[in-house]
Amino acid sequence: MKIVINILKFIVMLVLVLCVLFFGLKNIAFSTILNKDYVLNKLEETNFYSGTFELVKSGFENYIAQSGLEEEALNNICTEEKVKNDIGIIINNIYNGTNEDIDTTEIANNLNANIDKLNVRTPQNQKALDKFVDQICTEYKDTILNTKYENTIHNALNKVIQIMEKLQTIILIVTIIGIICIILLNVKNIYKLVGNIGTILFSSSLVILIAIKLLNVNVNISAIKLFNNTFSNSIVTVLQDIINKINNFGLILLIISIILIILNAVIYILKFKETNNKTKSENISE
Amino acid sequence: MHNKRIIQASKATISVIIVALLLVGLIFFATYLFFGQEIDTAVLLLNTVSVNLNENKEQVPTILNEEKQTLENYPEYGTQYATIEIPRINANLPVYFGDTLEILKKGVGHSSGSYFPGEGGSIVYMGHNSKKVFRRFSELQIGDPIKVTTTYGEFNYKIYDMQLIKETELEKVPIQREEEILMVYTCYPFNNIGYADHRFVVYAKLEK
Repeated sequence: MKIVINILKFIVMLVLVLCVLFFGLKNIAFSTILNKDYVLNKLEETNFYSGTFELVKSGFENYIAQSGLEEEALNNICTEEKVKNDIGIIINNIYNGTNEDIDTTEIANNLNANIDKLNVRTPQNQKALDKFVDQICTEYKDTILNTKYENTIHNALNKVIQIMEKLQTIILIVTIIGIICIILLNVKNIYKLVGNIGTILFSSSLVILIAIKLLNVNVNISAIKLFNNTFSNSIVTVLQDIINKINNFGLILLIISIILIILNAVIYILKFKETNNKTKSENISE
Repeated sequence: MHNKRIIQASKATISVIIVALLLVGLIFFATYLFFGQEIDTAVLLLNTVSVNLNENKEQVPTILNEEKQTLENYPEYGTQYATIEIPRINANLPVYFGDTLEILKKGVGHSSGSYFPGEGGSIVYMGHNSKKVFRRFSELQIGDPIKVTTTYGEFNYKIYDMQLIKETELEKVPIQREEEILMVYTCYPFNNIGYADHRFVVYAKLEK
């Protein structure tokens, strides 16, 4: 009978460990990568807007040499404010599914006005100039990472959020049932409950800390390069922040579990003392 | 009595730790069993985008193996490995390995899909038609010399052909390894305004 109870306890504890891991990771995900404000804050923190603006300017300059135009043609055709607004539109498209287009009319108008100031426009080169303006607008969209996949990403994010919310309800019910089960299984020795909760939290913390260690050993997060240096820098900062949050969650669980394990040992000592005193007094009365 | 209490407490603690370790082992085992392939793919994907730019890495010199006609230790992408000299248009320009717009801003680019000087194949160089680079390409004539001085040797070529091609006519700059041919091109018209969709190509053979 004792073996059956112990096996049942083990299974319930395993389920509860998975529940703890789910709630911890879900909360971290919802407060970081699935949170639009968090992403916007991180972009600001990592100077993503000014970095992207510099990239936009540098990208334009790359085209000027082959265009035969003077560099003045690019003067103030785009502002950092516009870059920031447009990135905001992209983030909205991803998180809110707004499906708004990036408007490059302002850039095209400014560029055309600058070309007119240079007095180089002729009927012969009109077509080539139009193509050049189009090229600059495309370069702008490419640099701020405006893609047709924003809607797809939004749908995928929405699906993940919906699944997680549904799972949360199920896992909450499972957790309550698990807690009731573990109490019932310890009903004869209720003091053992402290040890069981300690075991659950200790296992959860170990799973998290080992997984983070394995990730750090196998992947060099700080060297991740995607699209351009500015984007890579922001991505690396976000990933490292998420990893730190998960690691801190693991450490908090570890501290609580150690306290519970020590408490469990103290209870055992006290229990042993009590049992002995009882036996002694029984022997004396006999 | 005191020792017995300690032993009892230690036993309880050890059993808690053993059960915890069993749970951890079981979770990792199950995770690897059910999601092992997905985890491996994710790690591989992350490692693919994780570029270790070892900036302190010592630059290994490029050497030409003349017998095999191949280079040992190719130049790093984006670095300057040669200069090109075209006396008739008074051009003496740095040559970088790579052909991005960022590279072309600095000088002449070497198409990464083509061979290097000394390898006995097609070498494709390109540069802007700006004043600083190839604006005076129209002055070139058949028979003009082109000298390429690399970090591993000097190579002299002689122009034998010049052609005007569309930007999409890639077959006019063929990559082969039967004969060492240097192909240098720039945008056409030389003093165009706007987007240039033609290229002026100069073909030069290696002088024995």
